[in-house]
Amino acid sequence: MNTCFRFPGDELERYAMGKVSHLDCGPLEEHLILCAACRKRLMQMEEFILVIRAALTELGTHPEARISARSAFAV
Amino acid sequence: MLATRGIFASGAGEGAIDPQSIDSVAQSLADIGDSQTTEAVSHQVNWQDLVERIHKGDESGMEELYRLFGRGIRYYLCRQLGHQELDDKVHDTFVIVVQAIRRGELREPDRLMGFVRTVVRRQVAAYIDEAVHSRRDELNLDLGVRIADRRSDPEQTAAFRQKVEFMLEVLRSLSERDREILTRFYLDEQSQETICGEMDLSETQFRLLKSRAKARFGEVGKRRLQKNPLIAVSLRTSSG
Repeated sequence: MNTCFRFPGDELERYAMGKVSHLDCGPLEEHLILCAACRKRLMQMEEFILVIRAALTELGTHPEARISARSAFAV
Repeated sequence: MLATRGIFASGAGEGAIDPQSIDSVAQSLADIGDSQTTEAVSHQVNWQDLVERIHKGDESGMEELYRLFGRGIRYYLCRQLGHQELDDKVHDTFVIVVQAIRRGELREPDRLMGFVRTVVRRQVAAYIDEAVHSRRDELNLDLGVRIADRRSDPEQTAAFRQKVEFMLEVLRSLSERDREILTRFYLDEQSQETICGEMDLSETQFRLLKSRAKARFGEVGKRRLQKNPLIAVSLRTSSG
């Protein structure tokens, strides 16, 4: 498969995280409908986000967990 | 029967097309590889000519349309709605696009990509709306399953778990500060500007940290896969 970098990784990542409004994502979505290489990049990006979220949650680095940890040390 | 099928079934006049012909086009193009739908190809497409051929009912036009957009439409619908009745949904979307072109509704052929995206978005909204209404009628129905059937099988669950293990190894190798930066971005969804401002980071440092984490994740994954080929098979199966 050819590679395509018309849209930078940061932009794909923001889209994957749902941070691009539907008014602004037109050019990217039109491109994704046509470009298999970028669809693959987006899928990898989405998987990375899912995995890192699961791992970070498990490590207990979420704010609530951090607060709990600090409280535990305080005791 | 879906609303879009209704439009199709009663589509007398210029926009009327034979659903079987679309099925045969889809079938004949089922084995076409992804490599043919890249950015490079899009620059070679003569949109004016393509739209004209579809408008005239030329089957080669429909084939090209399907070749260019079939996988992208499938991907978008699957991403938004899940695998349930995916073939029907792709078919319906394709029919709507072809019908509209035949009725001469696409005035600017260069805007075909945007037009396809608009149709797909409307389809997604219609399916979600339909699911919401169905839920009102059937209170016991699980809306999540109805809208997007994303249930994974045990193999997929195991493969995902394996990847989380790789990631845990990566994260444990980072400093507490780096983990906090990633947590703020990926879990808390704080903006890059906020994180950089509060943690005294430059934009470049922030990007480097993210790309290093991604690279290390890939390295750990490769290393583990080399040690245990069975995992590799499992991951390949799940990602395919």
